[in-house]
Amino acid sequence: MTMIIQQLVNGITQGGLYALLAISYSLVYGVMNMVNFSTGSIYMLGAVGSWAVCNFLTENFFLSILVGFIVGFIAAFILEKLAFKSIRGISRISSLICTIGFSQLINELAALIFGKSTQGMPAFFKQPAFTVCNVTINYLQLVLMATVIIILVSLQLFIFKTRTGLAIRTVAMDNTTAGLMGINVDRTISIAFSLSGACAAIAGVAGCIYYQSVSAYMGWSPGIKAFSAAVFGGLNSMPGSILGGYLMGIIENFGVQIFSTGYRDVISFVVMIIFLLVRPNGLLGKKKITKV
Amino acid sequence: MNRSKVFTPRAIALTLLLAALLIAPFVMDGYMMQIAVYCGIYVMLAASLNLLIGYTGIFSMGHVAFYCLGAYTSSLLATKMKWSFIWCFLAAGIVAGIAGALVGIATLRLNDLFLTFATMGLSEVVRIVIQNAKFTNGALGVTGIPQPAFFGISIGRTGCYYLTLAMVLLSVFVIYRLVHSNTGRTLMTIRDDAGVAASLGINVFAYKMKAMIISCFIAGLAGSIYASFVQYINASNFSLNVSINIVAMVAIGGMGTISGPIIGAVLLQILPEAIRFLDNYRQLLFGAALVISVMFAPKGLVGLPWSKLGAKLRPVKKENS
Amino acid sequence: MLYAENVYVRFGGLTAVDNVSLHIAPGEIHAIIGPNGAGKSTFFNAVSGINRASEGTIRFLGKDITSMNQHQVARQGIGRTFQNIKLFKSMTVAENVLCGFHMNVKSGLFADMFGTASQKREEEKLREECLALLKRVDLYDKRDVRCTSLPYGDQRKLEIVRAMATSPKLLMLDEPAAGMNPTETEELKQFIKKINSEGLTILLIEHDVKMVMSLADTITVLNHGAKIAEGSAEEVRSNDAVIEAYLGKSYRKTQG
Repeated sequence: MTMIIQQLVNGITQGGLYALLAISYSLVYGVMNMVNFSTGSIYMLGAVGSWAVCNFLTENFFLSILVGFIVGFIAAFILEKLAFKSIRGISRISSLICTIGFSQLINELAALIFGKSTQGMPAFFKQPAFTVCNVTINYLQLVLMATVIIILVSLQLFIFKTRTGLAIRTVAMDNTTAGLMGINVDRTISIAFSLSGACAAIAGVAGCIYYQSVSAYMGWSPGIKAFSAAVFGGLNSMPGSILGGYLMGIIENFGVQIFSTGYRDVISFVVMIIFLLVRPNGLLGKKKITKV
Repeated sequence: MNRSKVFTPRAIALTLLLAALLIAPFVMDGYMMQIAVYCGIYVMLAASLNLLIGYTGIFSMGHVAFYCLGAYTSSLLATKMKWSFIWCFLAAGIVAGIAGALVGIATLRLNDLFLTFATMGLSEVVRIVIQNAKFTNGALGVTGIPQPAFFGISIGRTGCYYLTLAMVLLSVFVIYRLVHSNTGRTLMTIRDDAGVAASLGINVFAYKMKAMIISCFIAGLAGSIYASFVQYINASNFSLNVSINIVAMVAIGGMGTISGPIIGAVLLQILPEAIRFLDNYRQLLFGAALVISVMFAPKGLVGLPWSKLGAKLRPVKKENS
Repeated sequence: MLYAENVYVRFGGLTAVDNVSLHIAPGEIHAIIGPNGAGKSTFFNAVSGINRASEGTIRFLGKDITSMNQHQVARQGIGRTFQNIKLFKSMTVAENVLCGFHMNVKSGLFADMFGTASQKREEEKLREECLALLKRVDLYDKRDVRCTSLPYGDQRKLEIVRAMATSPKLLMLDEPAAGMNPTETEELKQFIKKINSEGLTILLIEHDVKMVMSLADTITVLNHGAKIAEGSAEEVRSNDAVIEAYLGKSYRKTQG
């Protein structure tokens, strides 16, 4: 019982990070119909940003999150303006190759500046909040869960309640028609892309605080696993990718308990692959009817 | 065949290149020889991946897994079962080919984007399992792999060079023949539009499987050569970065061309060695190659307008009327 | 030769094809017409194996093809073209047609890999056949042109020729005249007549009613997925249900 609750709490905390990253994938997939492989690198940039804040300015959790948001937003904004805008409409293979290239570039540039070694992060809110069935839950876990939920909810509100959100949804459905209806497609894509970057970077901040470590290559594995999570839930459905993220976090933590930590990454990949074979559209994804 | 057809500039250039490659070991030192063998291995990997990415439109990011399986099959058979090289070599190709078929069954029906991530995930699974499993010596890797030997006689490093060269030529030849035959044409129809291909009576899945198996077979052979040349392998040599590097070679050279992956592999393999300070930025170089190839040279180096450049360099002919 | 009996195609709650039966006699030009969304293309796709019929059977030359895959259907001798022209964009005219010959090729994977003599001979023969076909349809002069740089009418024609290269017994054309000007439509009509007179049975979907009326031997009219009329051009033209479907009830009232 203790074990189950412990893993559930860990899983939900970790799943929150995956959910943020997964929604970042599905936002970009929605408006640009491409998978942004460099999401993991933006995750890392957010983490490095918050490390810089804690190291050079002040050890403040909320400032770190804010800086992460800004770093991710700007990084994604620049990436889109510089590169992805000009390659819009090329084949999916080429666009994927391009984002993989950027992911490598960003990681390596970060390694040049930041160094290849892993740096520590200060501990936040380490004091225990309460105990259930011998499981101690500390404030950090609660704060992280709350942060993730606040961001996910505000993103949903933004997309479903504002004019810009409406524009994003329209572009996701059909960007040609959206353009004809007077929506500034370029601006909308840019906003959506930057927001997705911000989500990824906040996930990065949360990740580095949770694990108390930062490195230039830390984005790799969460990036790929969160994509699995997004696919698991349904890449073209935002609630689906959030659900997928949380489930992936939980499955991974129970998996580690059952197998060994060495196989941590294997579990999520295997889950993704099995799922793709059985339900190619994910848990909540919709089937697209392609017209011949 | 008439004379003028035999002595085309291209045929002469290829013959000279081949001659240079054959006598190269006599002027190369050990270090250069090593680079040459690595180049050969990567040419095999890039050319075989190109069959998938460039000709069939299957964007596999898991090519390293088959290379890895080949290397491990060959070296484990050689060290634990004491098989002779030729059997280890063939087994490496066959195991990789079978693995390719299995991965194909699992992923080839998926949408293209998912296929990329699924193959990537599977290749990580392979690496992690090998790193943790007992019979592969786990994280310690396999040591003391014998050099290739035929009839009990070790062929040494120079022999390895010629073996690699022969295998490179054979795989490029096979891929060339394939591309210029009905099979290759069929693969290209699948790349261009799988739905139409099916309407012409093409069994899309079967052909994708054929491409996958051949490609993985070649990657497995490359793995066997690598293992027996270096004589020590470790699961960490087969990380996802290797897959990305192979993709970079194919993309920068030119997808869907015969010479593209060869040029890309040789260039990206030699560049960091030739320019010393680049060695520390190897991954950076590969990342840049990927980005550049998509944004500035979508058809790769081979597809750049060389003939136009040539025309510009040549003196302009005056028109006499 | 093609017998479709009580075919239904459903997508979730939507019945796109509703109890359609259809017989196609050898050698005829059979047209399916109907307003937008009448289920014409869906029926076509059900025959060619892209989406399965939810109910009913489709038989071709005595064989049940209802649950066959696309390539299996093609192997039975049904060739088809697509509504929005689908050519292999990276290839030339001749290469596109060459791809159509796929089913005739006998040399296997290993012959292709090592370029055996018989494989080379076969390839040579294939090229000759391909060029002969191109000559027959007046595309020979453009054989080495990249297919995307052909004029629209020729692209459509090339798509039909590519399907002809599979040597089908039944050729299905999905809105061949879509997007064509009157001259191009007329040329296409003559072309279809020509290949039909050479013995090819043709099933076509068309929006251009005028063209269909002067071309087809039998016309089937679909509306909301169901068959509402069938017969010769004359019979269909004077059918009340057809007039209603196309022009609405009020039109018939003013006429009557």
